[in-house]
Amino acid sequence: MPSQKTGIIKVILLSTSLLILAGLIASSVFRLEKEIDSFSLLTKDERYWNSTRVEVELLRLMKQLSVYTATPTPDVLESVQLRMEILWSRINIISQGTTRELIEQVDPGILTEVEKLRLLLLQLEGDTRNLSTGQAYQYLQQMESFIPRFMHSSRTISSAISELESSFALKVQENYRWVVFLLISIVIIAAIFAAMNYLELRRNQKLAREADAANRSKGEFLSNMSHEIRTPLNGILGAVQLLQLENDLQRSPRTRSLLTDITASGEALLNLINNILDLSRLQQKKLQLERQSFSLHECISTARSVINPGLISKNIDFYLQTDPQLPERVCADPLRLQQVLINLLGNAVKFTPSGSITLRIAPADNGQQPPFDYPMDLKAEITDTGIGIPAEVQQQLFSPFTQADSSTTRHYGGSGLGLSLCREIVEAMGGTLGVISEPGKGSTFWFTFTVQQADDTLLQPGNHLPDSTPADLRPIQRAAEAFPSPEPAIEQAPEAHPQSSSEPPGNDPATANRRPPVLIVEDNRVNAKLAQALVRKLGYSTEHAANGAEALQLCRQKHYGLILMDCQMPVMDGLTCSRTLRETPGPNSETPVIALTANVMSIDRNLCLDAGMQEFLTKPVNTAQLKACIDAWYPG
Amino acid sequence: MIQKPTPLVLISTALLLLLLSSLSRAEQPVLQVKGRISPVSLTLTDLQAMPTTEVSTQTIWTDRKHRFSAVSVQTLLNELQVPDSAKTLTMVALNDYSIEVEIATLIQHNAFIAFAMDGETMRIRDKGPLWVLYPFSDQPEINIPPFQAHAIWQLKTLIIH
Repeated sequence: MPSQKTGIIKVILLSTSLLILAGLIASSVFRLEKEIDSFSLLTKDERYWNSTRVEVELLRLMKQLSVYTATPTPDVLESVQLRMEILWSRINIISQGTTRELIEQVDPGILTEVEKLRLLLLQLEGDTRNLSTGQAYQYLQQMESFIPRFMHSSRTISSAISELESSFALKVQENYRWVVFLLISIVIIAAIFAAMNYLELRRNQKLAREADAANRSKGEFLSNMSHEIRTPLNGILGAVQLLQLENDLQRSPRTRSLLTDITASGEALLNLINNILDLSRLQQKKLQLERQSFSLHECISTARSVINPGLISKNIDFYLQTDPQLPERVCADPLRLQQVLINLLGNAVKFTPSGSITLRIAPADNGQQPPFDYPMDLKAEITDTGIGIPAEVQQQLFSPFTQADSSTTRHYGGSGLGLSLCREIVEAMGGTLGVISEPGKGSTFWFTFTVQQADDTLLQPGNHLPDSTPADLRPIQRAAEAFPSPEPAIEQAPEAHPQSSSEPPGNDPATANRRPPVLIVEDNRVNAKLAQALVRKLGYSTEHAANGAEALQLCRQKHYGLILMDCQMPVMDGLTCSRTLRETPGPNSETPVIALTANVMSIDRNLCLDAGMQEFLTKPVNTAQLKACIDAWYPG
Repeated sequence: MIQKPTPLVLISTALLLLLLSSLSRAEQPVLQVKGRISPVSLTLTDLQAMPTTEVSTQTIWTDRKHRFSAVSVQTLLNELQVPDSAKTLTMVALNDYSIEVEIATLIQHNAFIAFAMDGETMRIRDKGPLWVLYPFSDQPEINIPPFQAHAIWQLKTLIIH
């Protein structure tokens, strides 16, 4: 607040001082103009010349009169008359108009003399018809007395004019100095303000940099910690999975339910950590969206399969409405879109005690469909009949660690990260996320996202998703029969390696021994044990290497059917190992390598594929995923 | 029978003679033109016989607007068949004041030689009989000292260069 106030004061000070200076400059320029005007008034139309002409013309008339006294001929008399007329015109000029003004200012006494001369001329005019030489001589005498007076006047006027000129020059000089001073003041004031602003900008930039650095280190701490937590958690979950494989424990209902609880809690914790990782990556702008062609309906059905257990246990109806204009295949980031859908649908399930959930997807602008290959805005709406959200908390709903109120956390659990993550993802995809809700009646979360139509086939609702047209709205997919085996949190694109429906060929232990074993490269003992147990359970024999170097040594000696490779290991990491394997000829230069890693960033996936690996699985690995993967890649 | 002239007749005759004499005086030349043409002397009547023009304008030497009867410089030069190659004109006044001006400038700004102001011929003491002027009121931009200096009064002689 105080800095805002001083900012306003600064602006006011700057503008007023500049205005005052500009006003002073304008007034001094105006004054200068007036000086120039008055100066030119006194000096223009040759007033000085005019004011001295009377004296000259008087002398010329006197000369003619003097000639007339000697030779009084009519011709000379005519010349006298001409001279008289010219003198008269001169008298007229100085006794009127601007010349008179000048003379009045400088030598007003001369005007009386001029009047006397005019009277004398009037007299002479009367006498010119027959002027005697005696009269001419008399006039000559009278005119003689005017000469010194006019001479004096000429001198006075000329010195007055030169005085005026020098004082005018001084005034102009003074004025210019003043204007220069004002201009310099303006420049100085502007420079001071510019310097102040620059310093403030520097300070702000420094603060912003510090805040940015603090934020970055917080983000880095979060993602490092998350990663560190994932490793032991993988161990716990793996151990539990191993325990679940023990038939003794499965037989006792008590231990079985305890194991299920541990697995559920562990997965919830893993989900939370994943969310934290994603959020910090989004906030650090490290998350890169992929662009790939995928089937919209598969993406939707995967998301729905994740929430299916919740729908079943709570007995909630699920409706899907897709617009007939939706394209079948689109270009966007399928995993991120799925993540948002799963999050929002999961929330809907979580906060809906009974009733229904509707997922609606349609083009955002209900108008014409853009041509093939053009970007197209889609809008997804998830409507539930749940507890709703009060208006006052709707705004802060999308900030991290916020839920409708803290009691929600106690009652429903969750960290409140999900919605802020959704918003970050949706905004990164160029869309917006919003909510309309009324407490007690339910909520509608909606978001828009931009896709490109991958081909011109439209999504045929009947083709893949039974009974879900907007016109014929019936509850479907609650039933477990639609998805008999709901598998939560499938993060891999399912179409990459279609799950084989047939049994793995090595399921028979007798044949297993004849087949090349699976090499598991993993430095963590618990994880290695888990992987080995899982692979053996799938009917393959296994061998273990504790790091990349060890694995390379083993690979030189015998052929393996498949290699499961951890990425981060001491001595030699998985990337170097598989790159070396591919580059050096040997029995395993063609063996499929599957990465197993706790690094879930997409950049890691690309690194693995670049290093010559074939597939990428994130830890903790569940049995179904591993099975699908081995089935797809194990030769034979 | 021969009647003696009555006083009335005598007075009339005297007045007529006076008028004739004044007319003959008015016929004295007022303007000498020389230089690139053979010298000519023009009387006021000669000038009035040329295509004349009426211009109303204010000047810095008069208190109000006056109507001037005049011959434009262009007309005068045409009437006297001054060759186009003539470049400048020196104008001389009765008091021997003179100034040389480019003919193109005079023509461009419609300079004229006035011989009457408000229908009256001008006496020498009133800047007559001939006064060179521009229509200053129509062209305020030339109502400045460099052009005002061209406005010579009591014009006596034109010398064409």
